[in-house]
Amino acid sequence: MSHAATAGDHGHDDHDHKPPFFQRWFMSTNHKDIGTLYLIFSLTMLFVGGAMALVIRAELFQPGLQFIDPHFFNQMTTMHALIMVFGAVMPGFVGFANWMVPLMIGAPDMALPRMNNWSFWILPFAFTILLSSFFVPGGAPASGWTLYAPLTIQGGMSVDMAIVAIHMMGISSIMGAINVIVTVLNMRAPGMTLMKMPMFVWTWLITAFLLIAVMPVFAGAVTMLLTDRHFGTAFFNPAGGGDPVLYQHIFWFFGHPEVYIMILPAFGIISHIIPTFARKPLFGYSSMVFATAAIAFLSFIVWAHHMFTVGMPLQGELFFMYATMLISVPTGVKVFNWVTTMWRGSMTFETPMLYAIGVVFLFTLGGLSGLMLAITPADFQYHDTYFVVAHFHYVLFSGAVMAMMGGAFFWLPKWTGHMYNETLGKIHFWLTAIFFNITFFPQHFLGLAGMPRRYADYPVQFTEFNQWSSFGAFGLGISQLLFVYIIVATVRGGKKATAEVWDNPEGLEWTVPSPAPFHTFDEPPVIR
Amino acid sequence: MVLSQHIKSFAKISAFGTFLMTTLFSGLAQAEYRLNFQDPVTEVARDIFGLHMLIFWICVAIFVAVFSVMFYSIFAHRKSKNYEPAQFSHSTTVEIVWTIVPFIILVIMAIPATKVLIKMEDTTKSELTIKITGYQWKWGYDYLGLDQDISFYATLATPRNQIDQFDKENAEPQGENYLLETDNVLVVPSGRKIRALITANDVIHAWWIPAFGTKKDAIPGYINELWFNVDVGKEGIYRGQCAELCGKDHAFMPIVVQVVTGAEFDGWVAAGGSFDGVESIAQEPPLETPEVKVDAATSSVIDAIVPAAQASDQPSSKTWTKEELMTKGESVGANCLACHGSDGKGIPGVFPAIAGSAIATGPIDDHIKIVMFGKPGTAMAAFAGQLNDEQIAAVVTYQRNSFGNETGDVVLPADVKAKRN
Repeated sequence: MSHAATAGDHGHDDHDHKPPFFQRWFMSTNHKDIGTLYLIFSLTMLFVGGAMALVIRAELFQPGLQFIDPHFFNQMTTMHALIMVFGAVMPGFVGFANWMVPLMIGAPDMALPRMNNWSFWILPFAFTILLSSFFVPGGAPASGWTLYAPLTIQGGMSVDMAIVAIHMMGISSIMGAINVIVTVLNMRAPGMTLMKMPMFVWTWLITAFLLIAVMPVFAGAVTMLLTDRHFGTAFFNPAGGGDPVLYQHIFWFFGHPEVYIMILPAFGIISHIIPTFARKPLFGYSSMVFATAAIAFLSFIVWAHHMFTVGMPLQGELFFMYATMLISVPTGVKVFNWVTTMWRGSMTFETPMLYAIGVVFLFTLGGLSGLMLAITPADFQYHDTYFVVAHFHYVLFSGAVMAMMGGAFFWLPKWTGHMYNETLGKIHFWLTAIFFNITFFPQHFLGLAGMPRRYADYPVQFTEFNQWSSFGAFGLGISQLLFVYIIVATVRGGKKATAEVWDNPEGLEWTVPSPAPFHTFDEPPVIR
Repeated sequence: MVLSQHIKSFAKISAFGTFLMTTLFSGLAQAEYRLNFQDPVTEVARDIFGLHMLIFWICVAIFVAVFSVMFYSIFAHRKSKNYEPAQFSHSTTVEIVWTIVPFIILVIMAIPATKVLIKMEDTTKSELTIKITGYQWKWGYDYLGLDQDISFYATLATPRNQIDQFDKENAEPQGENYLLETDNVLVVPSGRKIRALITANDVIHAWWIPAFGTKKDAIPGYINELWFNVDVGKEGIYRGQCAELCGKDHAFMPIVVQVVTGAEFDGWVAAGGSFDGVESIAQEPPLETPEVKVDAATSSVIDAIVPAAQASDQPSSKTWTKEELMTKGESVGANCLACHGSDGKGIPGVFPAIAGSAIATGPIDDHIKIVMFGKPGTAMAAFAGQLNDEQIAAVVTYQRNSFGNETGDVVLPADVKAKRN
């Protein structure tokens, strides 16, 4: 039945008339074009943030200061994180949501197309403000992406610019989240009940609620910083009766759900790729949905595990340890479900599948180091060392970013109408996976042996692993040029993709032609 | 011509590659790198190490179990082997099992973790209390409740030219304890429960000695607690670093602890914080410079960190010449250059310049006051409690007559003393 709608689309070829360049790319209200803009923005920021990571790794290649002074080093670590979190990962997933959510639920567009345009176009301005802070006296923010008070209160005017930029990003994220929620709840094709929704839509629906819940909290925290800095308040200043730890509680009440905002959509993408290439339905769909919801709920009650060393009472430490350990149950359910989906499938290993398997494997490694970090007495030793740096790059790079890369290869034929070069895709996967591990695996050892994070310089016994890490980082960075090449080549040409692209994949997005026409699902498909 | 350029740049790249690989492999060949925690020397650190290894092996077991299944499946259930896909999509039994079993494993982990945590947080029945204060960028130590006051600061002792490798001409190779050495060291006895009260003066720092299994944030306005009790027989030097981002020189405020026997410690306390006359220690080659006592002949570096409490006891009747103040000011003022730059030009926007600044060339009183009382909301700390009158006078004099400042002013200790109250 759903194929009837595709036929309907073919009858409306006149709708595929695209506006001229400026109107199309600057004034667009089309979910696909806005999705493309988000994805291009995200990829650009991946390179900007990545370049900063390479400056960090170049400085850390040897002990001593060779290239940059510690103040600039701190600017690099701070800006690398802010750009990767708010510029690369979050907008990347919004790009996927824009492209795929309407196609997956059989909607003609997002529910609020003009707001969609606005939520994208805020971002380039927000990041212009953030990046231009390099050129004000004192340089960019240098107090870490967590912007802990009272260090932030010492910062130069760049901190104020970062606060303005964060407010703008927050507005953009909240509008994007509202758009996803309204679209998903109101515009599903007839017959698509909530429990028939594709996993990616489910994970994004839950992510959107997390965003609406916590972005205002972050906005509140940075606003309090701003008034502490300029208007004589003392929320976080002990000299005025304020409390530096209060900032950390507020920040991490935002920050912990934030890490799930960055990983839940990745879980969604993986849950589409694995069944497609295992030629077998996703195992345990409803438990996947409940596990996602459980993770989202737990994410609100574990925040203080980021700050065990601030001197909480024993009872508090015990509560946050137990609650944090609990997260591994629903996360484990997801991993088991993916592995069981592969079990007795008929697998092939095209690039997206390689990425999906890589994500399951490496994300789980990061998840297990996360379980170690949850154990409070041990966390006292891991806290603020390279063990933590290794952990969160395993969940964020080999979790979120590699899932997006897999998703890009998976849906690129649908977006462009061309097949990408499979050999190059596989090479890109192996380069990325291998260099990623050379970069970050040794950091576990560095952290355990006692190297604190955010250090511009280190004692000589940490030299060897830092050299491996720097070597890997440059390999990882250079390998991403291949990613750009593959995407550009696929946009420009290549073997024609069929509507289904893959071998009998599941989902409405595969019922429309490739490339997906400018307007799809003018008439809603009917779900069996 | 184009070809030769290509060859040249290729040669450069391959030279860099060779350099990279030789550094990597020669580095590894002679490596003394560690893969795991430092050897624990307290009971708590041993408990943490045991807990860490327990969780680690449980995680390894889970990892191996899950991914053997996955890789077996990848190997066996592939289309190229014409494996026919099954179509099952759920099994309530399996799903209940893999929710319950991990939960049980978590309980098994949580029990020992809870026990260790309760032990770590029990700071009662301590035999010695030390107050530790974090500063940008040094540590201050005060021994509390002893018959005599012992307090001092500990600043990085690694020479600047080992750190700065920008200028290869003046750079020196890094020493064995590069970035892990301080001018003064915290001296503690083994076999006694020591409680530390931890706070900070400006921003958040964290006091960490890996071998003791202790790490706690030093937060302004808070007094945190931790305790450790080093095993008898484990006397020696232990090193750690600041573990919470505290600004520019976060990486340059290490922590060095010298653990001595109880008897040696008592001797050290009796001598007012000195090992002079403490037999067993005096015979060994000095591991560090444990000198704390004020001595007119001590070097100017030590002079710079002399605690004000002791230093202000000195008679200030001496008549200072400008030259003397300038010499002393240069050495005391070395600490200022961490922020204000070795050329006194600072970093515009965050660390103001001394060279040509309104403070250092304007009214003398403003200059003395900012050194003594700091500037709230910035990294400029109040040094009235850290430096004595002579030191402050010397620093101010030096700064008003160097970095291109030519005020000709001479500030005397009496000028500083007048502002103390």
